[in-house]
Amino acid sequence: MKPRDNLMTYQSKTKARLHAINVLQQRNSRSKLWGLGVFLTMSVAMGVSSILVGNVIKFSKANILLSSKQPLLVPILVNGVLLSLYLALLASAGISKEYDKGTLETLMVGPVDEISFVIGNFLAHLKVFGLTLLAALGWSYLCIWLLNFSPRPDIIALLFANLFMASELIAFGVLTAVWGGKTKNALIYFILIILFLSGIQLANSVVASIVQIENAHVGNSLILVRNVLTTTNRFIQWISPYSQVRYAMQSILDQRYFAYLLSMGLMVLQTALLLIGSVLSLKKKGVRGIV
Amino acid sequence: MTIPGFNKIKTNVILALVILMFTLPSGTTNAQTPDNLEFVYGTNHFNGATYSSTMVPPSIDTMYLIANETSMVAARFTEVYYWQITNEYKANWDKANINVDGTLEILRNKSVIQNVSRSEYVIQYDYFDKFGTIKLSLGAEAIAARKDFESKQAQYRDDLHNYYQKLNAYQEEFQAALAKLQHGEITEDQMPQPPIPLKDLSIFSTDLLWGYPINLPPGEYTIRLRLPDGTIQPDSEKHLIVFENLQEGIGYNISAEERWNKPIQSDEESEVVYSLKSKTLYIQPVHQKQYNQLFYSRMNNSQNTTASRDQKIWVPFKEAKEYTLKVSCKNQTTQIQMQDYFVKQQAGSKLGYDIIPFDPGNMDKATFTAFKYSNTEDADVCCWVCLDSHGNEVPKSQREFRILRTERNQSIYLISAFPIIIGLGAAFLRKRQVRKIKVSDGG
Repeated sequence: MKPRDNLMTYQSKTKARLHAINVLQQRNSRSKLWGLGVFLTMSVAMGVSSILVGNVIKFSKANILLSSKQPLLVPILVNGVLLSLYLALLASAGISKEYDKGTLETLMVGPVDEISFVIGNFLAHLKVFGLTLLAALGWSYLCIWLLNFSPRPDIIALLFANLFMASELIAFGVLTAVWGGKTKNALIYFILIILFLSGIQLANSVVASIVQIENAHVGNSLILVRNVLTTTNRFIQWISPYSQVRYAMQSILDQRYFAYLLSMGLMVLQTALLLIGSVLSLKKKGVRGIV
Repeated sequence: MTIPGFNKIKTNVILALVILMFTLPSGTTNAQTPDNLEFVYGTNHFNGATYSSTMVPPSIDTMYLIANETSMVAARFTEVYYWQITNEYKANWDKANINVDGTLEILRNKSVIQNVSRSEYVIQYDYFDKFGTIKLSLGAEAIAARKDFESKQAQYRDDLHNYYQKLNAYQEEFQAALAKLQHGEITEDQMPQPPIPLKDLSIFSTDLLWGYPINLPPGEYTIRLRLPDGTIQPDSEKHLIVFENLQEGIGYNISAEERWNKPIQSDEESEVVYSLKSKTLYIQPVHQKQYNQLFYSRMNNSQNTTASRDQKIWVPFKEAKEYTLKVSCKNQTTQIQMQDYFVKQQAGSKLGYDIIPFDPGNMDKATFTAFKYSNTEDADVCCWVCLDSHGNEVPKSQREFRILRTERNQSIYLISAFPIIIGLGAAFLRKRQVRKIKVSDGG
């Protein structure tokens, strides 16, 4: 075969793959948007965020004063975490169902290969998250207008950080689905790993807040626990999307733009690694999930 | 059944134990003999605002000091004991406080970069302006400063003696004059005048102390004490971290009139201050520096184990009384002068107080000094900034100030219902579309 023919084959292959990705992401995202689940989760996430904002207002009313860099920081973070977790779970469950039902085998017979399948599914869920982000942006600006919060452009940066966190979580959901094979296994892997990561971080924050400098002394047994959790967390924060998004958000509020970009870059890198891992795992396991 | 002679053996054993008990030192708490002293470092270090001290026991291997400021490190022998209440090692200075002479070697990358000799020093300040007047004097200057303080102290003693003598004389004269006044022999104008009260000696001075002055740029070093015989004092080698402040700026302590002694802090320009409508606020600016929490806390207490390396701490070091506050709301700009205020408790059993301007004629001491700002204007977004004596804006003193619309709080819960309404609409539309497909299939 001549080099020109090789190039044409490559171009047509890429075209076919892009087409397959586009079709897959459209089909999947549309099916998610026609369902009630995404909207229900959005309402729940906004409800929880509203409670958090209400709490800030309640505190301010009681104390008359409040000094804050961004009172919407935690509500936006919680909103993003809830929605991205839901979509990552959906991604994991959706792909593993294709395994369970054997539809993946049918798909692979056609123009869909491992790359287009993984990327298509990933983009479908990311697209849905992007739409929920637009709703979150609207919600944030309504809160700003209603309560007279400061309309700082950092809100956009905070939401943008959520998008990168969601992409990492969705990619992770895709990987657990490919890795776990059956829906049950995939969901168990996903939930256990997420619980472990968030559990360590939550425990670290709780213990760190209990062991305050002012009232702690060296005999406090929790200090050892805090130090162990802090050390563990120091490693986990490099791989946890929650830590990265929190760090990115704090960096933007502290006007440390390089640190913000660094966190975002790290999330992009991890997303890419997770997606590559998914593709390789799918290639290795095959469409029937047998190694 | 008893073994023959067992009781005798038992009695002897008990007797031996009792004798042993009385001959042994009385318990582990007093196990150290007077000669059993340990080498420690004691610091008198600059903490960003004033001088603090800490003791560095042999168990601690790292010391922390602020960069480019002179701090004193003293080498001593003392009795070190463990204090269970705080789980810390303490020094029994009363028992032994022996200065160790030698040369303090400062090393960087294992090579000596400085040899520091022991020096006399004093720390002095004026009570009325501690942060502005605190001074560390070394060597001959320290001796002169201490001598000066002692002479001022002696002068004050003499002046006080003279004052009380004058006061006694005045009281006698006053009684005599009062009798004359009652008899109409003199008028009120002729009554004797009391002596002018003596101003307090507001200067504080430490004794003349011995220590090794350290003033280093930021970095990591090692220190050790070389004794006059050329050997290194055991336990004297420590890792030394010299750090600088991360940033400097103006912080604010802001209190609402209703909660005057519960201020909130605003440390950075990126923080927005929110309040409620029609409230009076008292704003106190302070100069402050930001440090690494672990470094700063361990500098002040070498045995601190609760501070965290990845946290930061703002340390206020001086009240910023020299500024005026410029408040800009919409198109209106006002300048507020700092004023002294007095908190007057209301009479009766009901709790209450009034904050009134301080009147030196009728009040002893001002409760606080602050800018008073009442947000009675329509504007719900303002900005304030400190101005120096030339009218220039002080860097990092700007804050955005907003009035929260708390009455609209409930509306935000309603917004949460929008997505589910849209979702239900989408589901309804889909159902209709599916139904249409079925009809066409049947047709």
